[in-house]
Amino acid sequence: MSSELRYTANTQLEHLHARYTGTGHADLTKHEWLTHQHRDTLSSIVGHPTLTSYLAIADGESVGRVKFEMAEVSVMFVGGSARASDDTVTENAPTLWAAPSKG
Amino acid sequence: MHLYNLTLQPPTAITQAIVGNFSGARQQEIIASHGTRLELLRPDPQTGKISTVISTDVFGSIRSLAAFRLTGGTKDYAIVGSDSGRIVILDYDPKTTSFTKLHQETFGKSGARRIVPGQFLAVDPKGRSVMISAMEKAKLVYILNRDAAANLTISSPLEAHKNSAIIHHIIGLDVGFENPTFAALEVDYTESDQDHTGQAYENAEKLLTYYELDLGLNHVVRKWSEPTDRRANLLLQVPGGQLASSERFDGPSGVLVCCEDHIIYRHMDAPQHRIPIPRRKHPLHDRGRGMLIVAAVMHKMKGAFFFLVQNEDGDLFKVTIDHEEEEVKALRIKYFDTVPVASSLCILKSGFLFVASEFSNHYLYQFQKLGDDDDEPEFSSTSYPSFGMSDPSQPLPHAFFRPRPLENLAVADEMESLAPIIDSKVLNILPNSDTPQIFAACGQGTRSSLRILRHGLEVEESVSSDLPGIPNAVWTTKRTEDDPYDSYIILSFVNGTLVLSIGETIEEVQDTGFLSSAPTLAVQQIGADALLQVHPGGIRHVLANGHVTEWRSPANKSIVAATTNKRQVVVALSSAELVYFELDLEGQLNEYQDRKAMGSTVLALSVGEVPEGRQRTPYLAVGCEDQTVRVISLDPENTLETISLQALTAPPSSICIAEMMDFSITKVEPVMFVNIGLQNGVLLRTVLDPTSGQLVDTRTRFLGTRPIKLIRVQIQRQPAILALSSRSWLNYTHQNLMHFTPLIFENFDYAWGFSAELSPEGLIGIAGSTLRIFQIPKLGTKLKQDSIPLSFTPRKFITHPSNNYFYLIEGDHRVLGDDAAAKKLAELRNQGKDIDDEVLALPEEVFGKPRAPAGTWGSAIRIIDPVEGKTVAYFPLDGNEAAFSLAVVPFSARNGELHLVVGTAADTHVSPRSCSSGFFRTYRFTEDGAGLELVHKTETDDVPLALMAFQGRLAAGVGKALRIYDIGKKKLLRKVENKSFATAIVTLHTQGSHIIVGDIQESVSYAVYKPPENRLLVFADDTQPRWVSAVAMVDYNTVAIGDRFGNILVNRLDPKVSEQVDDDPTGAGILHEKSILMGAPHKTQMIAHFHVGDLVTSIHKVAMVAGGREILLYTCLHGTVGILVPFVSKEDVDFISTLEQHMRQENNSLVGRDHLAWRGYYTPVKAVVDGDLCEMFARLPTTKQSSIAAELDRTVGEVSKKLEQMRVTTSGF
Repeated sequence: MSSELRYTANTQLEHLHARYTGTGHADLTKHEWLTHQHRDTLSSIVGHPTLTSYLAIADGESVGRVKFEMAEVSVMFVGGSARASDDTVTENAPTLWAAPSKG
Repeated sequence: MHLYNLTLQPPTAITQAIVGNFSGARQQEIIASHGTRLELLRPDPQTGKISTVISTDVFGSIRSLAAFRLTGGTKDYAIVGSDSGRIVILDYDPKTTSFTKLHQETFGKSGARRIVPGQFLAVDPKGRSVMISAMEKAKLVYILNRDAAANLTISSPLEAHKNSAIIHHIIGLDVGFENPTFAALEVDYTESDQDHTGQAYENAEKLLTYYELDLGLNHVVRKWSEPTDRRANLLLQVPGGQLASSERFDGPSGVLVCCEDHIIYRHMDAPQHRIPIPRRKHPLHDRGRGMLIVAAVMHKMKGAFFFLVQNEDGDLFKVTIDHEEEEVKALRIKYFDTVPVASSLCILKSGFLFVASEFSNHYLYQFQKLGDDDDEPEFSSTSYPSFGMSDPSQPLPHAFFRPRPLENLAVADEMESLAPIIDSKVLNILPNSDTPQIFAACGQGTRSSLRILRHGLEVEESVSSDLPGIPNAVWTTKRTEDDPYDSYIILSFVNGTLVLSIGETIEEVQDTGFLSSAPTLAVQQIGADALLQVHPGGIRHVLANGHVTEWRSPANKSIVAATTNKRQVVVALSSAELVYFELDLEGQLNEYQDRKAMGSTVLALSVGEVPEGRQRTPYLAVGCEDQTVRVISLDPENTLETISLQALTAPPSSICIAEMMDFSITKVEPVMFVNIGLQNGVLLRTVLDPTSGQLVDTRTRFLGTRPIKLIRVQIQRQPAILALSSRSWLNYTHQNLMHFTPLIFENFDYAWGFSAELSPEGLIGIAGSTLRIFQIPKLGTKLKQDSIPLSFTPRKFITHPSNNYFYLIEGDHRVLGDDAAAKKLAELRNQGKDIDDEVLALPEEVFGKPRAPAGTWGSAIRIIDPVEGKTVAYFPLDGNEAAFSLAVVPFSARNGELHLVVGTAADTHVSPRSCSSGFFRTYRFTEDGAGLELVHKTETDDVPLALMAFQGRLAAGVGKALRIYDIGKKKLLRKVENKSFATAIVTLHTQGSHIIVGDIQESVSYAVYKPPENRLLVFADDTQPRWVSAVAMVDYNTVAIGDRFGNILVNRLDPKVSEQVDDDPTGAGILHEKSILMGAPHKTQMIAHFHVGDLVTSIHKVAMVAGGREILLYTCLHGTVGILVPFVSKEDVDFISTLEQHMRQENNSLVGRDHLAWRGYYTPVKAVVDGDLCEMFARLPTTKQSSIAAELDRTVGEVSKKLEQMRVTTSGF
């Protein structure tokens, strides 16, 4: 979040939110927050070559596929159908990264 | 604690490679990104070998690279997208052999963020503009142009953002000289965010969008956007546009959209063409699995173009487009060859294909043919209704090809790459070695290997022959000055000299004019066409006509030492006198009228080579028995006057003056080094001041246990020095910096340069009574690799306490194990299916093992003899089991008999972690450790990821639980358990009764075992979450931790706490202590932290030099090997960290990343100095060097010396 936000009136808040995707606000739901978290994490993984290699080795996939699947999963909204009924998140959350053993 | 971080081996994985004429010469070069380094590679079209021109650390993470050339230009520039929030244009300057930043434009925050561009780069093929994009939303377009002075200019950025869109790929469209257009693959997530049922996510469309940069209006418009296949992942540029000179179109323009299983040709207002990606006709092929293109390259030739695309199995396909003007008639695909899976493919105009492998070694292939007229089946879009697009939602019927060995390509060169290093050990087990070796388990899948890394240069022997006796010296010489190659080999024995002539064969010759009845002291081709031999009785000057003039040594005095060059000869007599000769213009050797009495027996002499265009070299170095070295003038004004004197710690055994380039001292001319080898095996390297003749800047190095012999040789047309002791070393200049590296070869008694037609750059050496001719092929490398092939990705390996074998577990996910494959084949045979045995017999190292769905594993246990370099035994695991951990345990219940316990799990899924059952396989060692016998198998509830021997029992991390097991008759018996760990235990270490537990996500905790109450208690943990990937105990209370994000840190527990815990006999005190922050009652403190930039996979506490200090050595996933050296004094800390501060100011990162921010990527860097940055001091301009040195109150030499000392005394590198 930039320091601009602190000094601007609320009228501009919406504009700034549109500009800085991923910024939170007071009415943020748990699922929205989580979706942001996931998208941030996924882009960070794709952006760090060592992390994509690491996941590729653990999962027996190629680096190209790991990057592709990460980007695909970014589109997904975390919570999915679970959101309407209850508050648990884990159910349909994309299973993103493994807890791989060494490698 | 303060640490000094030094990289011994930079990362070797290539994340991206681009090709272009970066030096502006006609030759094409490759720039490879190693993640944190940029390397310029030059493939030689004649020899087909790749050489490194430069390699620089950029102190940032490179995410994308692109090459571009301005219209009409002859030189390519590189654009770098990184995590610095800046776009950087680099130019390679061949004069200074360095990259220079032409432009650096800031557009966002640093870090690999979601909406900060840097992930993708696309350039207009005419070099007019570049698009840089983030993973999401943000795309910026810069216009590239030249100004009046023909300098490259860059505009301010134009936005082409699309809100809430995930970007998969971008590419520059080839539109000729129309407005630059970029194509992007995007998915909008607005609707899927609104819809909670997940339906919208299912229905989301992937759009192919064209962005046009209107050069007239200076803005970017979205020109065209159409949905395409949902599983599209990659775009490829199709040539287009008209040439100015002709009306002909280069191609149809547009893009190839690579999707899962298909490739689609698309362009605005043009019909689509779709072809399937062919699959292997392999009986075990998993038909449900989609085919993805992971790497691709387009190549334009005169009037034609083609694409090479590669799938995940490494199969290359050639894609061609039939077109008439702008209209596409057909899209065709056929199998080309199979090469390792690449992160980048580069085609060079000289007919080479560079494959930057995603893992393991990289290859350069030469095209043998382009697969034009073979009988490989070709699949064309015209053979499907509406060019394969009749129903885009339905896949086309599968197309098949038969994989076969290489036909269109031939391997030209191989670049060794350690990446990925998954586990390692540092041990000294090879015979005849005084320093430890690094054993690294590297690679992925069937291309895995266990590599033995030894510090030193690889030596390639070409000839080895036995001699009649044991010579004590060898020389080679040309006959005349202009000869390209050497003509004679002269061998000196105790009582005679043997002369061999080099021709088609090497044979003895008699009529050379050399005295054969006495040993030889020196041989020299002198003047234009004469030869010179120095023997104890005198000097023989053999003229071209065969006439010999001889100078005899005075009666009762013999020559004891001699040194020669092209025009000068100095000999030392047994009476401690020096006699000086110089060649006059007629080619006569004249003695100087005076002899110089030295007062002490002369042991060694040396003069340098005569500088070009000069009569003589002005200095002579003399080493005397009284432990001194004197520099004596040979200048006519003060001939044989002593200029300076240096005292030594031992009598010298050899001296060698050589003029060599060293950028760290001066960048303009070679430096005159006086190397002094002492009888105790220490080498002193001093610099001879050319004006005053003083010896300055002395550096010492211990080479071995024998007296040193120094020989001046030529390596790659540059002077180098061979230093022979109990090991042989080579001191040479590489990329303008001095290197001092041991040779990994037999020890030599003497050696000399050797140049013949077959080996123009060779060396000749004698070892005992053997004569060897050899080359040093890979200058600049520091680690020699020997590898032992493996079948699957290695996971872990351990050593045995009493034998030298390694026990290694390997395993691969999504791969059919050998027994499962055999079972399936038998089943297919029973069903009467036709099995293609030829395809089954293809080598697995190249073609891989058959792929299988998630949850399928191939795994094995292997016993390796690292000394012999071979596999001793191999035990594949059956039942879809995969091995994850292992330990050698001396069970006290079996009187300390050693057992190997392997932690395995069946039907394991990696994400989320699950298995049908975990197992401990307990083995007994047979045949002295060369075999294993299964004792029993114990079931567990989760995957055992960490095992360790603990007080005669087994400590195991099984999922979240830490347990201690004892051995029973039928299975292992659980004795005690602690289930308080957060996620999964991945590492275990112990000292005394402490167990250090590394959790995959929640850092390291300290546990203690209290036998009286049989309690396992956690008494301390970390305050930070930490994705632990490697742990090493530094001392009883301190651990070094490597994490998944490339950090390395040291945590320490207050020794008082640990004492208190040890004093508590039952552990009741800890049990009732109040927990802090919902964790253990005590917290560790972080005392050092550093971001390495590569994922740390193992850490060891070792001494790398015999008698040296213990250091922390770490290995990383992308092939980095580095060390952390503890500073010994406060003074050093102050000095080096001040130097680092200055270096931060001077050395701007090539990608524009702030150094301090980079090293403190996740947590601010703490108590660690970046040695890699400090060592850049050597490359700074001289004025900068002196100003920094002045700030530090030191001389430039002192600063360099300190840095070298930090490196040499701790690592020996």
